[in-house]
Amino acid sequence: MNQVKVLLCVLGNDIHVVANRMLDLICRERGCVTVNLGALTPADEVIEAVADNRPDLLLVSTLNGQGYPEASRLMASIKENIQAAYRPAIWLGGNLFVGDYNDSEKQRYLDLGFDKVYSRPRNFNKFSSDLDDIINILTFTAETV
Amino acid sequence: MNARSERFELQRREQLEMLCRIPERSEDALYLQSKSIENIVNDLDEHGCRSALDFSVALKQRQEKSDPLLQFRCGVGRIEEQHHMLRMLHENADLLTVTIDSYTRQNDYLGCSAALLVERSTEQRVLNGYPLIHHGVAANREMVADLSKPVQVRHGTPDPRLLAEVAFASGYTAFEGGPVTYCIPYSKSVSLKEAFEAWAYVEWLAVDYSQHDCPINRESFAPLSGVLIPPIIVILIQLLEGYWILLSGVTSLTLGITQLGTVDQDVAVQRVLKRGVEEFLRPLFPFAEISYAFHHWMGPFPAAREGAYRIMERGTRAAKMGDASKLIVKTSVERHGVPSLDDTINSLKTTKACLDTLGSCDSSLSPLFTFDEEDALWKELKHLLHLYGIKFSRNCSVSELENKLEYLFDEGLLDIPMAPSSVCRGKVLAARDTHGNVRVLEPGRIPFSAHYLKREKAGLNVPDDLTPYKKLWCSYESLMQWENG
Repeated sequence: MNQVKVLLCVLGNDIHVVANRMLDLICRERGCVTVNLGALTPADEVIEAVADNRPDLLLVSTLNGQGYPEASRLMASIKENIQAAYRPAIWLGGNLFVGDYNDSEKQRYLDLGFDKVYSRPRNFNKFSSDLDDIINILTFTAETV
Repeated sequence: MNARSERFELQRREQLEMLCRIPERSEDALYLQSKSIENIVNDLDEHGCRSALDFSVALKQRQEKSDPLLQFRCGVGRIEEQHHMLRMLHENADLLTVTIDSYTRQNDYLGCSAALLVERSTEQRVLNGYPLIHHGVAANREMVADLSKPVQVRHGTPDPRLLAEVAFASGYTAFEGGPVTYCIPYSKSVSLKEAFEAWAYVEWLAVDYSQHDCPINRESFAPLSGVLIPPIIVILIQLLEGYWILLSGVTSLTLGITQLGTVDQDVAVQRVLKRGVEEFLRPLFPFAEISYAFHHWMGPFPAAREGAYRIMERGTRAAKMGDASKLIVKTSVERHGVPSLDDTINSLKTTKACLDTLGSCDSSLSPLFTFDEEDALWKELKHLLHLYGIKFSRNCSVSELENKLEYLFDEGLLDIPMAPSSVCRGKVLAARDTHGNVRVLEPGRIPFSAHYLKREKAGLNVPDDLTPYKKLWCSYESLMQWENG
């Protein structure tokens, strides 16, 4: 069976790594191969790592509320530099804006092209089940092709 | 001029050139380049930015066993808003804070300019803190002079040379952080060597700005990576960074403890830190003013206000019983993002009310457990310091201590859990025991005594043969335990 490859990062001027480490752990426990770029990762570095590693799934964390400009750079650069065939599924999660949480703000990130956006998730349950789904889809596809 | 001050003068020129490259701040760069620090201090006196507003004086004036002084965290992008908030808060707090934004923390000054421009034009919050450098010396001075209480700069900047330069010239008299505690939790690839170099410059500036009996107060950062940290590690790092700061010539130092376990454990941890200071640091630096901060819980908070207040109330009690010089408060809305002005005012009022009901209690009222815990921590502290070969002595040079710390972190003999930095191994983990005390779950490579480890593990209700995966989950679940009520 082909292993699902996951690339993880904490985007921009952001040092919050606890969730990133836990996501890495969850992915590995599910049998995925992970490449973790860790904290303080600029968009350019993510793009480079996507090109080098060709992950199936890219997990982007942003916790300090200042992530929008760098997230928007990242997605523009993905469109420009990564061929559609190699574009991973891209999921983003964390504290997306400074100040009070507002549901409509999540949409601003979805509009950038992220496939899933987790805004201040209370736990990893939703992520874990989404991960199971994508693993099933990817491994099923790999086996039938 | 000796080689040391030549090195610093060279760095100062570099920093001010960097300031010159921030277009809106070139005027400040010219001002700072043209004046000696003595002249700048005189200018500050003329602006009414010193003396009554001195942070170290406020800490010194606090009477032993009186309530801890209250301080909050507060940082927003626009100076008008920051000024307004501090003015509204200073009635309910003893010490004021500006918390710096993440662009500045990572020395991304142009990114900060751009974000501030967006924030100003849209009047939407874009920055997650106060961009002190970008508001300039004159405007900062005006704000500091207008406030009748002293203001500290709290940040999280591994290389804060320019920030310190502008902050001290602006009249801020206290500056948080240090080469270890602002490097390992706040950077990915900055080495300790680089951090020591940058912070040596900060201490040099702080000493030079400490004129007219108004020393700049320097504070280490106790909460580290903000997760569950074995309390013995917090004590060790506070003592070692404190030692380094004092060796650099600083005369007003604050060390801290952060709320981690039960009230009884947190009191024991504070007592051990103080004992360490009295035994190891005081004899070497008899003229230094050393004070103690206590931080309300820095981990995840519950969504419900009542739950949050319960945690804060326990922290307040621990600070009071541990005779902390100051208490840095959280708010009941931590779970929901940046607290509003009203949230912070409420938190200060509630904390004050809590202190009032506590009256004059102190650690002599603590249960036997506290003293058992203190005893165990103290013995282990001496054991580890001995194994590390740390000698508290006048003959110890700064570079000797630096080499030692680099070695200890390199080898994983000293370690911090869940930090972003590659400086430490991050193998050590803590978890809560059944009573709520924080215990060593995984020692990593730290050479704890067998006796201490056995005592730590006794209260943990976990099997010995947990896989690394399960251990990390166990530690994470302990961290999140309070969030769930």
